[in-house]
Amino acid sequence: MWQSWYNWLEERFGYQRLKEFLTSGVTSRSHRWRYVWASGLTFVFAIQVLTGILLMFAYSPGSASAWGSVYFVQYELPFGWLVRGLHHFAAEAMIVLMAAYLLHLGLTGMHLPPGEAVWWTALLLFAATMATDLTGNPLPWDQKAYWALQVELNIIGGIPGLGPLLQYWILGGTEAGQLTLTRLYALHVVVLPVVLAFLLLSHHLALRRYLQQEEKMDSENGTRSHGRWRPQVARVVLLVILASLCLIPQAMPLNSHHDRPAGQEPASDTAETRAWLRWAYLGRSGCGAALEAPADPNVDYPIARPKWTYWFLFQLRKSLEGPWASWATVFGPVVVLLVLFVLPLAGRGRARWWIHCVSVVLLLVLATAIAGLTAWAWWNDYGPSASAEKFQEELHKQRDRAQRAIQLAARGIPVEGPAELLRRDPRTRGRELYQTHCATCHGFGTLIPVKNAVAPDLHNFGTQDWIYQLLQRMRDETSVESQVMPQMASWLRREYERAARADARAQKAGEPPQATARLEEDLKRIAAWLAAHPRRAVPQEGPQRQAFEQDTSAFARGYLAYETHCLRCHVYSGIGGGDTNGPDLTGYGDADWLRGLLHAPYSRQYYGPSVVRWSRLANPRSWMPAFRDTENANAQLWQRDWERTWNELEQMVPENDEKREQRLQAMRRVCTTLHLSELDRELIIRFVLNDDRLVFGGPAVLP
Amino acid sequence: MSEATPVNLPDHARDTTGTAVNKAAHDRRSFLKWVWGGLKTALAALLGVPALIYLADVGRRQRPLRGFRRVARLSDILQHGKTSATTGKRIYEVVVRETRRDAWMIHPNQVLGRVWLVHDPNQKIEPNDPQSALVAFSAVCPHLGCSVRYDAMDDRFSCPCHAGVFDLSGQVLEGPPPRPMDRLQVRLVPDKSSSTNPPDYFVEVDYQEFVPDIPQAIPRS
Repeated sequence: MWQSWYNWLEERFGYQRLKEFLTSGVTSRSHRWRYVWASGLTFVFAIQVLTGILLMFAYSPGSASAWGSVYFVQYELPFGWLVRGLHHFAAEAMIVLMAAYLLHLGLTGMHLPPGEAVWWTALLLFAATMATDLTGNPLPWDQKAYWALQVELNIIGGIPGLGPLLQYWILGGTEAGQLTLTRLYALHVVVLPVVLAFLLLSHHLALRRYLQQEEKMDSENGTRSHGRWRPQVARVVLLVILASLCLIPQAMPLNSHHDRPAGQEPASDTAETRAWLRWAYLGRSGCGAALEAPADPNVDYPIARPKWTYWFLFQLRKSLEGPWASWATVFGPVVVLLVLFVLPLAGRGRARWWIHCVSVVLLLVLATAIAGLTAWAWWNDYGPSASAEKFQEELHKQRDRAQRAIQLAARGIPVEGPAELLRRDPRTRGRELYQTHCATCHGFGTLIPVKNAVAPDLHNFGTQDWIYQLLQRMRDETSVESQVMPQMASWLRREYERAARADARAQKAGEPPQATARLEEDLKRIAAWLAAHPRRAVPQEGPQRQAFEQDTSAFARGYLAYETHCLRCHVYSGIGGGDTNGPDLTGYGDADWLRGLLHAPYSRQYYGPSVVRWSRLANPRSWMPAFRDTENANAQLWQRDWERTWNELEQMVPENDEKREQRLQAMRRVCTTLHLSELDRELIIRFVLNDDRLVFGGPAVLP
Repeated sequence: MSEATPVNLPDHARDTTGTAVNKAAHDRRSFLKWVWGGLKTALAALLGVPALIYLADVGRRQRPLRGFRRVARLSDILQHGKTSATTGKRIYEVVVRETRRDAWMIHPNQVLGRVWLVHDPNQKIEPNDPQSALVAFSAVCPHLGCSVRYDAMDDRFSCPCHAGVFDLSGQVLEGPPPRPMDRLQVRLVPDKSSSTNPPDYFVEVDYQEFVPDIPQAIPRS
């Protein structure tokens, strides 16, 4: 039955002829090592085509979608890490193979007639492979790809004449972005693979003709042909080398891990604990090709490097200076390629032997130079030197960013693009903003240490421990805390002194001393209560009040302690204060409270009355300025708000004060307003409150 | 495909001279052939199986999770709902919003679906079991998925696509729908911050979609 089916196929299509054509050139001579390279290249090319097609099922070329789709392949699709890793490492293997092949051809003199077609197609293949690689590298659109592309395109732009035009065309304008990606994509997935396939076919044909020639010469000269067992061994060895080239680098978990925050795992992930599924998602453990943080032109990237296969060019450019530099990197390789190209033309007839010698020397020098330059580049970045240390430090910073971006991407990437992940992440962007806007006065634990801080450290701000520690530090007269909040501090010291006196009295009377312990207990309760950012109103009279006083919850205990100690100066939920107008404690330390504080720290609700008191001093220490958007549409509104607050403050200074004018001037100086956009403010607030959610346009949130 | 055709012979089975090969060499060659074949198969499997799993990509992404979502307050229905002329019931449409996940992208606050709330103000509210006083219907027509709307003139629900008509309890009055409107689970949660008397409630609906155009209401998986 198969036979008849086969016969029908043969009769209608004549496949046999094609098969004959394809296998006709195979002779015992095709088992020599030098012929194995071409088969190896074809094999790797086939892998590239297959994995490339697979990647195309998920990849989306676009500056807002490319990184997300590559992230998706790497971390969310089963075996996506393997497919992408194969495509990545096989590309490197192909370049290495090409280089080794050319070297082999040149050293054995196979590039000279009658092998010039073999040599030329091989050289063109090499160039086409490089071009395919160069157009493929930027496609993930991560930081590394983006900045390497900038450099590469600037080099291209440096070519006199056509350069700027070519640069403009590839970029699709003047900036790298949407069109750049689609153009590179079209070149990478259609144009160049077709060219490569055509060149590979031509190369095989040329190689076959060369074999026939060689065989003819052998039979004429009576030279013995080579052993029969070689083909299998050669193929097995080559296959093993290729497979390990592609697979071993993947198995090394060197890249960003994909640790989802607890509670973020999708329901189906529970099934992934099964062993074989763990293989499918090995990319999450850092295996496969690397993916850096999304491309972001706003973020400095001082470690732009090409792929290691081009390090020699990079190093060449770096070690040369002046106008020669661009000449050497652009024309150097072109000239070398041209020389290699014309070698066979010179190697005709009697000159053959000489040209062979020249080629050997030339190729060995080239290979040594490339290897040396590559090693030099490696040494500069990974060796024991100060610049390498700097490079490593920056590399780690970028890896941290990548890690964070990937962690955030697990929750989904916003429509605005993956760069927004880090731009709206309190832990990344919020920290940077804190550094710029807050760290002149406030430290932040060990993360952002500030020398000579003039305001409290805000690490763990608003937690029970932080509040309690703040109170304890106020007991020390020299501490920053007691200097910025002198009234609160002196009250606290008085309380402790009074408790100590009561303890001494009790000791004298022979009773156990309890006052200090009780005070500390109360402070702890207040700290715990405040750490919950209380906003709930408390019944002030009637049976509800009685029930509340019997309540043993932390809220009730904390509130009652507050009532005993703080109510006189601090307002809570509209009650209390009056005495010295301390800050309102309703919702103390939550995002809303902080928002109000940043918006107008000089308002009556926050530290306004203190500002008035401060103005009595000849030289007030720097006071917290207001931070708000002074450029948006609401700026006018805030201005009016400020005037109202200023009137309030002005009234707090007695009319008969003899130094009234000086005091008002001092107050004005203290009440400055600095610009801070709403997004930046929210990022800082979330960073301070250790709230990990991304910020999307003001207070709206993404879980 | 006969052995006699030289072109069909594998490389290793041939000798340059064309003479027969001895047995030892033949054994060695068949062993190598076996190794080569095995390697090829292993490599094909190593790449092919993951490739297929990668392409199949099954069951990874899901519909938004089920669960009760807050859609309105009871007072909203009383204030803004349309009043049925015949029964005095209040009819109010609400939108259920949810974060949608589209492959790697996330779209916050997207419309998951629309729900018709039918509230009978004369019935007593039982927060735990409000079924008699408050009913939630999915606005998706059980026929082919168009949006059902409330027709105040005739005091009934109607679907504009194929003229399906339902009464206020969701039963089919006319047209092609194979089953009544799909009822969704609904519950009332007391609003602790409200100071009104009687106290206000939050209306929460467990939104889900059902397979269209069959007589039974089967949730979509």
